[in-house]
Amino acid sequence: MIDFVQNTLDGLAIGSAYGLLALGFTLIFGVMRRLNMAFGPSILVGIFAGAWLHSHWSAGMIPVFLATLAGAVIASAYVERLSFAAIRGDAALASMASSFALWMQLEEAVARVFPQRTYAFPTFEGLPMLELGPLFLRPEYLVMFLTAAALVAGLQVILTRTLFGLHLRTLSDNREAARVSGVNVAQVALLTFLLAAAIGGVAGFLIAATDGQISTKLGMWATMKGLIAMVIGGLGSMRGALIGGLALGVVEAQAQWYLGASGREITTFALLFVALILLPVGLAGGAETGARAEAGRRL
Amino acid sequence: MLAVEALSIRYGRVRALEEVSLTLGHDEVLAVAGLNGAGKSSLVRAICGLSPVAAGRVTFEGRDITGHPLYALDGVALVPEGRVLAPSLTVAETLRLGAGRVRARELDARRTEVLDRFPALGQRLNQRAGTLSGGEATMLALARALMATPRLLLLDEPTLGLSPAAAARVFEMLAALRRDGLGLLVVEQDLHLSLGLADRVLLLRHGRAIGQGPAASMPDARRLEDLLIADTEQEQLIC
Repeated sequence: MIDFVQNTLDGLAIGSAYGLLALGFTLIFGVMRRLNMAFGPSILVGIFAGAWLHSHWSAGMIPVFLATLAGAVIASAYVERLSFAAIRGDAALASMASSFALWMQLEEAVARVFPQRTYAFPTFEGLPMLELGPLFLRPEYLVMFLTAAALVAGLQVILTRTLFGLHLRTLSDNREAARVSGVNVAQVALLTFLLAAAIGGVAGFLIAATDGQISTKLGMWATMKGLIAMVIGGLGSMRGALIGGLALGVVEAQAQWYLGASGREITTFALLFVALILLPVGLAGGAETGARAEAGRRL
Repeated sequence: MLAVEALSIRYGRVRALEEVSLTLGHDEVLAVAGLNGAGKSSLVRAICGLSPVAAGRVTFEGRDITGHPLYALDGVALVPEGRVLAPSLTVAETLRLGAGRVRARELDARRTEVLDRFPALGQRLNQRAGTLSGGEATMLALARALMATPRLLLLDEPTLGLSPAAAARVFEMLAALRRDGLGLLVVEQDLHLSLGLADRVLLLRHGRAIGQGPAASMPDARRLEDLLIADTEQEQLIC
């Protein structure tokens, strides 16, 4: 039983980072109604920018964090301009295919600049292990969980207390309503993209700083984790993204402990499969989607 | 205040509007009448930059605003066909949306003023727009537009889907807005209502202006409807 609780605790921590990745996907999907397949590789660019700063200039955590964030945001702006802003109209598939091409391009570019298999990334050294009775919590997990919680709280404030947040929610709800209300749709879409990239950059930094080493596979890994968490939680639901991320983290942690590394991957995809079959609207998507559809029908 | 000169709109090969011209002054109401597909909505959407302009020019208070998007137009607001609200936003949020980038004090002042016109909305500030009745949703769409403190209000079928009583209330509200100095360009299927409010009327058929003149000199609503339906070409019906 202790093992189960310990795994749950670890899973919630790593799941909070998955939740952030899913949140990034959800923000973009909510506003654009399109999937950004290059989301993970954009984060990869940021992480390697941080790693470069660390290895060449022995930069500390804060400069590495800022470089990661900046790299992810710049790479995302590049993706937005090419795969989303340039492809207008009802062309979700074209955007998705185009962002998939940019995924390959970004990953290949990073692999050429950083040809080694793995690179070192600074870690949260010197922080003590936390003991909670019979349970332990790795300090980097605590940092991960608290950062994710703070970020989600901050995002909530942006969404509910600022004009940009109102514009974003309007765009997500009804694009035409945003246009006829005098919202600069293209600008809000770009800012949302960059916001999602910043959230993804934070998630990427936390994950890399927890592992202490990175490889070029991290882009695909981040895309997969974020997509799976988003689908499990419910496509287009921010609450669902967080719930999906936490659920994925916990299931993975339990599977890793009881079934081993290969069992973990099998369980992850089994979870996705089960979620798609039994709960296609996701863990949190049902109520939100239903309410929104009903409201739309009345209008 | 508003001048449209030889405006043409094309959707691919389809000619939605052909060289339509109009003018509209302050505290004046121009009703645009025509059957479905006459180009009324295209005209309204092109004036506020929501539809692409193939040729022609739109000026507002002396400035060329041809093709300018709505968010860049100071003093122009739109009540679109079908109201087009974001269903998950509350009434208060929808009003906030309409105000755009303004300071908190200015926002409060505008909200108070708008809610004085629509007291029913004041009681539903926390209700989601998607749960309002048709009449309330129309009022909210109108209130959202007024939050931008426009000098020119474009209305596209504001009474669509409303009961005759609710439609009459909407037009009472529009009459009050005109008295307060707003210029109104109204696209409306109910000719009886629009002739009762308008100073001038623009008649469209198949994307062309077939007549324009004072509302008082127009035939009554039923006769006008017959003229619009008539399949004969009647260029410059009333000038």
